[in-house]
Amino acid sequence: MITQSTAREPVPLEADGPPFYLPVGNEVEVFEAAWRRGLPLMLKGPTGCGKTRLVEHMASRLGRPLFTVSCHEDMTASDLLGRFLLSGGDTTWVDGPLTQAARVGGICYLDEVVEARPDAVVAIHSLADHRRELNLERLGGTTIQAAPGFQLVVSYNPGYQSVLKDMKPSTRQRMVAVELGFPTADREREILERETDLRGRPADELIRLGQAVRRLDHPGLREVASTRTLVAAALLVTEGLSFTDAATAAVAGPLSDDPELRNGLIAMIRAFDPGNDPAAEGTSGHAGHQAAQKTTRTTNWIQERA
Amino acid sequence: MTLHPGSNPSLAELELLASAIAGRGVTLEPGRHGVYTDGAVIYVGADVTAGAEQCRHAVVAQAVLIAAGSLDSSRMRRLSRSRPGSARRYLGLEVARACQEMDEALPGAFQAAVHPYAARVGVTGSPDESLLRAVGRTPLEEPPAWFGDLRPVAMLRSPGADGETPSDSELAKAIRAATEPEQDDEDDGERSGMLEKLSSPLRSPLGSVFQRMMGARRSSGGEGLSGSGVSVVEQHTGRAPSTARQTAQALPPSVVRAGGQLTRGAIYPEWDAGSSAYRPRWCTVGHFDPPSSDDPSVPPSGVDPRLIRELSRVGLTWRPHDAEPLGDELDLTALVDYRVAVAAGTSGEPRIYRAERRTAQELGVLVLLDATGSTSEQHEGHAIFEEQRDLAHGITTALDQLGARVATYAFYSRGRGNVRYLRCKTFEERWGVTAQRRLFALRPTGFTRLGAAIRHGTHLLDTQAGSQHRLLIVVGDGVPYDDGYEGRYAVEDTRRAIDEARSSAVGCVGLSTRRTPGSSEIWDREAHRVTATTAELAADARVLLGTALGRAGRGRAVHHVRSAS
Repeated sequence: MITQSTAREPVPLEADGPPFYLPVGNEVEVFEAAWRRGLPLMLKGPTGCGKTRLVEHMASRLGRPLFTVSCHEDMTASDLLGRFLLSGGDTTWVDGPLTQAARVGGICYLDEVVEARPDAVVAIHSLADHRRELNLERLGGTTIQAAPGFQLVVSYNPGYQSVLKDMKPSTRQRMVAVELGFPTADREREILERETDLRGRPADELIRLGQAVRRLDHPGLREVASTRTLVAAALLVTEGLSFTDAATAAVAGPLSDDPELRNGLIAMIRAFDPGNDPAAEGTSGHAGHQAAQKTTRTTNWIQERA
Repeated sequence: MTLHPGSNPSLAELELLASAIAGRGVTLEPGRHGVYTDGAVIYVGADVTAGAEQCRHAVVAQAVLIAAGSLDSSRMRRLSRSRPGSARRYLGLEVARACQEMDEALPGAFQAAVHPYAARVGVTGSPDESLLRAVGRTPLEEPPAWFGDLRPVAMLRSPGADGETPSDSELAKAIRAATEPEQDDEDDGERSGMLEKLSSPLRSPLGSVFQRMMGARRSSGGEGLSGSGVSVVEQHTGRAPSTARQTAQALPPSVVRAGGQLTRGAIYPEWDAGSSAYRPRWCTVGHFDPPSSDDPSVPPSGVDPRLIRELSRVGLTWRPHDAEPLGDELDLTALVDYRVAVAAGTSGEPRIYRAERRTAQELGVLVLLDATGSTSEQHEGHAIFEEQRDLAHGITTALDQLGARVATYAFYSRGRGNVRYLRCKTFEERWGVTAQRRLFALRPTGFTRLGAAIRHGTHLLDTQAGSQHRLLIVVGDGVPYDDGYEGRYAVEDTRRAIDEARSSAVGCVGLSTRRTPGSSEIWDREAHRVTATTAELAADARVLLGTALGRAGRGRAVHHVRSAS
């Protein structure tokens, strides 16, 4: 016997408003317009610039359930559409996230879509064009018409060199593209404050550090210091770590394993450490002063290890 | 105690900071005294404690000057003629100006340190205004000592500073000088301009300390040779390495001075057939970008589907496949699907196994284009170079579309101290318009020191390709010729370099667009083709490249450690 069931509950809507997202450009307007018109969206941007946060924010703002799929190279079309499972002597059909989203009119978000094999991505074609329907051949050729409110959103990082590297042109041209970059220093500062409550000199210097690292054109650096890593560093500072320790753990460590490059990054971080700047104590806020005191107490574990 | 900066790792660590602020690759080198820059290198004097905060501030100040475009040659010329003190005043005003402009990317501590001076002298609006005030008669405070120095004469002598290319007569001198015994470089910044340009590898006592340091800590900044698993072998050994394999590896990636300009690169030995021995540390290969041209037209990237099809079968390796009719392991998903099908009453073919099939491509290719003067000849109205360039373009495009790891460089040489690798596409870059424009901006020039070029290609494949199968495709007319590099000597060295490549498991083939007499001396029949177009190449690409990979594979340990990528 064949039964249908829904395996997963959609992500519940936020009770207290959408997750915080500060636009860097017109991406919110484009997203909303595309959603109203049922156009699939392609988000391009470097790691940690806020692609996923934007999708969460918009899903909540538009009041649609969100189905997120992290794509990987072993993902098959069945993982998106659904499959039969054996239960006892019976077989049970279980919807995949794409099918669920189409049924309930949710937003289906395929994160890092270039990581998926092309044959899996082709499954979204019929949903992504004017037909807005899904053909489930395995379910006896059932066709599901996407419910109102359904939207397909994919994201990828154009900087990555994966073996597949790119989506098929036939997939790409079904999409509306939004290109995201890192926010300007002012906006990034605002994001840092909203996300972490870190203020004053340490926050300023973290932003500056991020800007400086993004100016680097170094072959060993595959990524730059993203907004996400800066937020992580700020969170560590608010937990009482010194500026250098926090930024080393959250920024330098994740960026590179190369010991030489790490040492260079740590030297950069020290240059930005407000605690290393006794002259500035008088002019800085209390946060800078605190950090200065902490740094003198904390021995640098990186140095000891090296 | 003042540490000697050459022996102090903190100087090297500051390089990344300086590069970030300058917005391009900057090297730090020990100098005699004071902190100053020539536009590409920041010299930190022996009298400056490398770890100290003042040293860091001074390095940042110099990097700021580079970023702000304060150092262009016309202003430097003006300052070099002005009364003493003008240069330092200009330095102070420019640091203050740039500090305000680059506010968002500079350490707060540095800004706080500059601020009092900037407030006293007032911030200018442009480099020209700074210059006028610096050379003017109105009294103006000099910046604090920690700002470092500005040496307009050193700036003007640095060939790398302003993108100046040396004239032909200078090059001729440099080539002659490159074969003469090395001079001892006493002062890094203020040698005479000509000595600067002709020096081949850094040989000064300071230089060799620096170079060992650079070599031992692998690459940083500029053209990347990172991820190298090459062990650092003592460079100054007088003996020739005993085996070809050793030769190809005895090259730590480092900073070299090629044709007077500091850049990433490496130094290679050369095979002297006359004495059956290597000449150690003989050729310097440096990385450069092709000169930017205003609007090199990039043709539409049409690809030859036949070439893609043929290339897709080169360099394959095993990959597990799902839902196979035969195999060693069960594919559980396929098994469940099959059971479902049986339960639903429609039993299909039981394709329920996982099996390894030889379908995955593991191929890294370096396309090396001969951009030397001899290829500029016309043949029936077509420049040979353009044919070769289009062939290299077609091959790169096809490989890129296939998803193979591919890098494309052009090369030419002007003497053994100046073998130039011109970057079109590195392994990491995308084959986008920028990269293709670099290829089409190339103009043939210089000579052909093919052996060194092949050795460097092998080295890049060895350290950066990260694939199981590696292939070096040389597109050129195949006639090695350079200063002190001709006839039997050049042919034997090139053949030796090809053998070294093969023993490093790098397949090596030559492609020419015209039949030239010299190529058969270098390439054997199996490894060389005359193909005017990609269509002709497609006809036997699989045989040619497959054979080359097969020959390279022989004699190599089966186990291959994949390098990080």
